[in-house]
Amino acid sequence: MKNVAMLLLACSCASAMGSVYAAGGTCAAPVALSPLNAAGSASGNTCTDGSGGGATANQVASYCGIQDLSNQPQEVYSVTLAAAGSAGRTATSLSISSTTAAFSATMYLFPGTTAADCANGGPPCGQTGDKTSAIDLTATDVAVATAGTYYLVIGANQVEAKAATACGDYNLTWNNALPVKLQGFSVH
Amino acid sequence: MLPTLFATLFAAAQAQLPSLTAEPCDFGETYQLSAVHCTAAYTNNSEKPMRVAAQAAMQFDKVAPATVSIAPHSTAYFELTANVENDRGHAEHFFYAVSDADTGLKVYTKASGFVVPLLDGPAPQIDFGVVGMGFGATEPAPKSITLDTHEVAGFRLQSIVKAPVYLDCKIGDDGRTLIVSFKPSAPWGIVGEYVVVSTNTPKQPTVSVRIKADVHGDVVPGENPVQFGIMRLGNKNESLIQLKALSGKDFKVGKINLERLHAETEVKPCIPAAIGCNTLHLSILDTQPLGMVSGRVSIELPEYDRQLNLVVGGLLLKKDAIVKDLKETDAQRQSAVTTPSNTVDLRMALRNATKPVDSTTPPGNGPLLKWSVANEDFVYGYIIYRSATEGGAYSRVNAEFIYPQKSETGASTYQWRDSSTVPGHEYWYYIGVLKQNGARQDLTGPQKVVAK
Repeated sequence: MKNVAMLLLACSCASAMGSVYAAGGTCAAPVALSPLNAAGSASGNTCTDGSGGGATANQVASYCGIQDLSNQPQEVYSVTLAAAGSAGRTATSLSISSTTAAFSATMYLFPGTTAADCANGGPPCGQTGDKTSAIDLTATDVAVATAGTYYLVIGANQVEAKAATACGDYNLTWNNALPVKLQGFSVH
Repeated sequence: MLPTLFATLFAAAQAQLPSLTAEPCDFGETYQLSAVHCTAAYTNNSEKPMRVAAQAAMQFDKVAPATVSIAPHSTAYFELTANVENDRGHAEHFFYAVSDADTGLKVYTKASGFVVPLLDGPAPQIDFGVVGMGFGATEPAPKSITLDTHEVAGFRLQSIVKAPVYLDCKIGDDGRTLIVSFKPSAPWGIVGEYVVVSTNTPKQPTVSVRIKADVHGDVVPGENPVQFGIMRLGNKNESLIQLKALSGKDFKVGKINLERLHAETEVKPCIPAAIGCNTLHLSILDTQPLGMVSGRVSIELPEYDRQLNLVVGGLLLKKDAIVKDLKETDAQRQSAVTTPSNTVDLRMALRNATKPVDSTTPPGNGPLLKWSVANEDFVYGYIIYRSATEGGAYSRVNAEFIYPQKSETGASTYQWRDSSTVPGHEYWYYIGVLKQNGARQDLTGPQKVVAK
């Protein structure tokens, strides 16, 4: 398991390909996406998934205005999380790994409805950078646990990978890292 | 022969190094509301001396010295100071340096560590929702939050250290409740500020509570926050936000200030025209940096002597950027698999397997706690809480966290002995988990023991 980073983003009026035009509180209908539930995976290679078999494009320039992500090949996924609970989301984590040497596959998660938090110094801007574990979707204090549309940007780690040319393969999985489970407790 | 080969390889490796490289540093484990320090190394890999200027990427962090000269093939050290006031769990703060050898290249490093929140529960916050301050609104009721921790016994709040001028804040009679109310002078629009309160524990002398609200004055925006979702370079990324006076009176719009936004704004009458109604045209420009857009529009309303704050969010991508649906990608992958893969199921089965890992029994006579768990991916450490009664005031008794073993089987067993008990006395224990993201979680219920 390699590096994981996260970042929040407002996205109530998402349009995947066309222009965004919001008027007086109404906006283009959000793109309908399947909720992320049971375990699954997606894989790719930022060196070769671009047009003509080349590196993917640099899609985003910065991480919360803090970390410079310019020049690194990236891929973008959209994902919808249903509300947590027995009738809703069952996925509890997102994890990324890579087999490419000298490439720290990093996942930047841009969830929805939290623009106010970022703009006002709230989470997750205080929780920047890489993680050495998966993103915990069960967290009660992190906005990634809330339902909504999110965007996952897959790229390199700015600090460790010297990201200007860093690319490689990645494997994205969800629901593989489970919440801690008690198996026994006694006091003698 | 071999020495020559190694020398050649070493020289080649050196030649590939960037002229300036950095090593990150670790500030260790700390509680919130503190400034932490560590030393990062910057190395000049070139044949020439270079002048290096360092900066913090985050607003309240610092780096010293600001500039330094580094001789060829030498290393200089910078003291990084990270403000972890509102961090929780695994935290990273970024810094960068630019050398006179390559002024266009920012070389990043980071200070990382783990920030332990003192308080139980999620990050404390009072969300007022919509607060009416305008025409015909009744005075908003105060709201409160009760703060507690099992980290220490007898936790109390002491005094308000810092609060926005438009909030009235006081501590409740129980010494653990913060009571907040809005003054009529509050700015209109979205508010997100911290109130800092001192505590009676040296572990973390202050705690902060985030106050959220959408203050509705007489002039109310049609939407706030203004959420663009995905935007693309070259497209018309525009939003029309209706500004309407609840009093039904016409109003003037003064200067409009933008924070963290490359945008154009224009205020026009509403269509169809109506008294007390204007429309703000907000267009994100292509000069906006790619990536997350998280900014603020502050609109001066001179007749009210007030500002209306709109929060703006979105994700700006290149025109041809492809956004894949993660679920559809997974479905395509699964349909392409001709033989079913059971890798995930096997891994889960392994993780749920009860294969305890032996751990040494600690010496002594005090109560011995034993527990076993599976799935430790998100666990930072275990905490032992103790009380004299089942429903009593529990407080932490292990000074150091018990760090997870994270065994390859996914199951781990632990033993911990409490050597601070009095023989013959009754004690209640339960175990809590501090997660990697700083959240606390109860792992067990309480169990009773009489100390030997």
